[in-house]
Amino acid sequence: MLNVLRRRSGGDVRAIAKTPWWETHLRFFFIAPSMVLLAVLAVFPAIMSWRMAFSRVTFKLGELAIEPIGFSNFTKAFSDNLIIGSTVRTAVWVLVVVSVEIVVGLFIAFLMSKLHSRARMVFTAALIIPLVLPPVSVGAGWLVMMDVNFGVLNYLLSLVGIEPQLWLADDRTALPSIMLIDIWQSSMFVFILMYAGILSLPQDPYEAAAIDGASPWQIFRDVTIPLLRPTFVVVLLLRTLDAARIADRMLAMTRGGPGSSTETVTLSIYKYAFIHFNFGYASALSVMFQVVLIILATFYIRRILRT
Amino acid sequence: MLPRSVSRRQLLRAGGGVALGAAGVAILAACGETQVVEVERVVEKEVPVEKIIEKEVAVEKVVTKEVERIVTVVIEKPIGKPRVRLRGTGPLGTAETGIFDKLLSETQIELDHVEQPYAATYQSLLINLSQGGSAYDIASMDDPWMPQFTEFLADITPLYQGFGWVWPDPDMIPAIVDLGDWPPGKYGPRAVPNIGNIQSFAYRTDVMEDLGVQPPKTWDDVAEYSAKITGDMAPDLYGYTIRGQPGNPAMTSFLPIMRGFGRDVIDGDLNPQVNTEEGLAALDMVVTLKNLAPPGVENIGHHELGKLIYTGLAAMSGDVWPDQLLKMYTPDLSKVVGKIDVLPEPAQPGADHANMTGVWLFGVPQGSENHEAAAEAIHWLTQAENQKENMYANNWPPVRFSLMDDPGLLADFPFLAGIKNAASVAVPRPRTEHYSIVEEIVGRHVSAVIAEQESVGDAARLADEEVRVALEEKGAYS
Repeated sequence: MLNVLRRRSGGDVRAIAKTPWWETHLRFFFIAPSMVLLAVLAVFPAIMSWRMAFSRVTFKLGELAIEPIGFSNFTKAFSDNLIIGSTVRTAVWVLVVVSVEIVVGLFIAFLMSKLHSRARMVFTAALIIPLVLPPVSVGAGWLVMMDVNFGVLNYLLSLVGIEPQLWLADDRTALPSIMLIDIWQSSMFVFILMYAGILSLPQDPYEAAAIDGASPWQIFRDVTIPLLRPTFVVVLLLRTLDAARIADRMLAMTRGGPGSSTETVTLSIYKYAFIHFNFGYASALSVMFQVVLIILATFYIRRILRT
Repeated sequence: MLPRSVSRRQLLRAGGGVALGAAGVAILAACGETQVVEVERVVEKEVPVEKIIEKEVAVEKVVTKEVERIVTVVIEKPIGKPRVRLRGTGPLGTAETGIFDKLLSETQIELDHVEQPYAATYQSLLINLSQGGSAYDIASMDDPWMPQFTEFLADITPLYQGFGWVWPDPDMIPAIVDLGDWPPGKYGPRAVPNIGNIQSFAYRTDVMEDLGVQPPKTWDDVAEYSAKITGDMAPDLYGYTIRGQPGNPAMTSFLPIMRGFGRDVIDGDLNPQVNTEEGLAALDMVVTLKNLAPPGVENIGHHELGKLIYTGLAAMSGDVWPDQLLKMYTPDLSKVVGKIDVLPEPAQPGADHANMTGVWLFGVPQGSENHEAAAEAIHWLTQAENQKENMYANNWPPVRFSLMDDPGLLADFPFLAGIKNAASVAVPRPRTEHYSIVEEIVGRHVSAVIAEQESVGDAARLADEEVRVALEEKGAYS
């Protein structure tokens, strides 16, 4: 028990109060609700998920029967053609959308930084509109626009004499079509971060470069890009993790089709869990996916700390 | 005067006291039962009255204060049947039609409708029912879900008997009533049908007249007529349309074709049947029909298929449901009003016509704490008058003989006669609790065939292999 002491002007020291235990530990009472909530909503499901990953899970009235089966669920994944295909597709998806979004976002941010402040405000407000729309609504809207027979996109193409495109109905163009939508929406997220990064850059290196007679391209390449490196790593981290978890757009637009040409890892996990009701296998896939994302995140975070 | 300083401890104590007091009041309030008591309260205000009495000589001022008695009259009336609040999900009715208000006024049952998309309804029901949860008192379920759900539902017979009602209801179509009893006789009837959805083959009567042919009876007829229509009239009109999205959509379009070739996707012992002579012929037919369909069918679902017909772009489909027929008969939407008729699904010689049921049934979850009230609400909702109202409001076909032959309904919904014919040959989807798995796997490969991602042979082989592995893991063959 802690005694509160007060040194009086005369120099004598005496205990003036004995703080009760609950006041000493008051901070724990304040954070307890959050901790309980976190435990219930995050830690417990994570532990259950890991447990189910090594088990066969069946539903019985009033109970969840969990029977341990070792690593079977994990080994099965390596011979599952649907998962192998989904993994490759997800990797391509992440690589393409994140790269293009960074280029587009950086380009817009750079242009905006050169605009007059009032124009900047107007354009920024307009550009973040796609960002505030829910992905499922965006998917539903684009699905209508990309309709082969009634969609506005094919109508616009017909005005300039171009044949109707199959967009989501062709297994060769379905994934690129959804990538286009993702790039349209998520580039604005990259733009916001890059724009904030550019505005916070120190001006001295620019002045020095101008005195040295550097061209605008040289300034961009040799000053702006290196100075923006920490922002790049943060954007890469956030966008990679987000892009890898894509499922809602596909679910709303193609259900993973035609065939399985737009099926991603998380969509496959969803189907195994909620259509096959194979929670053991779905948990094992989730755990493996989780590990891959943690490794990626660790790599990026190390980069951030280094820069 | 300066305000007295308050220490942190005092503040906390005082705050704690207030919080405890508030919590106590809330708990006491929550514990009390709400009782509806009509109270007549007469309050007469306390009015100071100043009276001045003037006399000729002297003036006397008298002030009186009259306080009138406050009269409080409490009249307690008999409460009658207590109100019960139930929660249900799946298609129950449409609040805008006032059906839930009517239920409340007639039965004192207040029904909260939790509206969710199809897949979310299925998932939440499976989890709630299997875990014995009390989240729902009424579950409205699609018939393919029944084999998974029956063991988690309450027996309808004793619940109905408790009210003196007969079950099964002799006015309901027996084949549809039987969908609520799975495995037949094991648990007894666990569900009451409400929506008599039947898949049917729809075709353009004017186009058949122009071709000078009778409506198709076999899938070969369909292919032959489609080739003529698409050959002569595309891109303005195509012969046939089919759903190509993977899973449920592609499978729902494929199943009547496969059955029309004389075989189901799985047999009675759950052995996959796609990689058979009939299965391969059915997949070949899918490819033929897809090539005669409007462009883009590789990624269409239920609504888009209906739109292709009511906008006049496709002449035939074996995957048409009552809600789409209503649109085809709606002048504001449709270019083909009065030009559509429905038939039983085509079948190759020697095979049976097999329209698919998509019946929705009501059940009472075992975990519900309101079995009797739920049964009463189900009984009320499935009465002829309410089914008729649902037909007008939602185009939900009735499940009662008396309504199928109702002259008023037949006059307003001419396609109802066709649906009745289709109902006479309707069969449910394969009856197994693993059907959703079969549907996902076969539907994915059919979609791949439609998108020309897989050959017919590969798709059939892979579909059968994957179904067998998945069902083995589920212990379906042990």
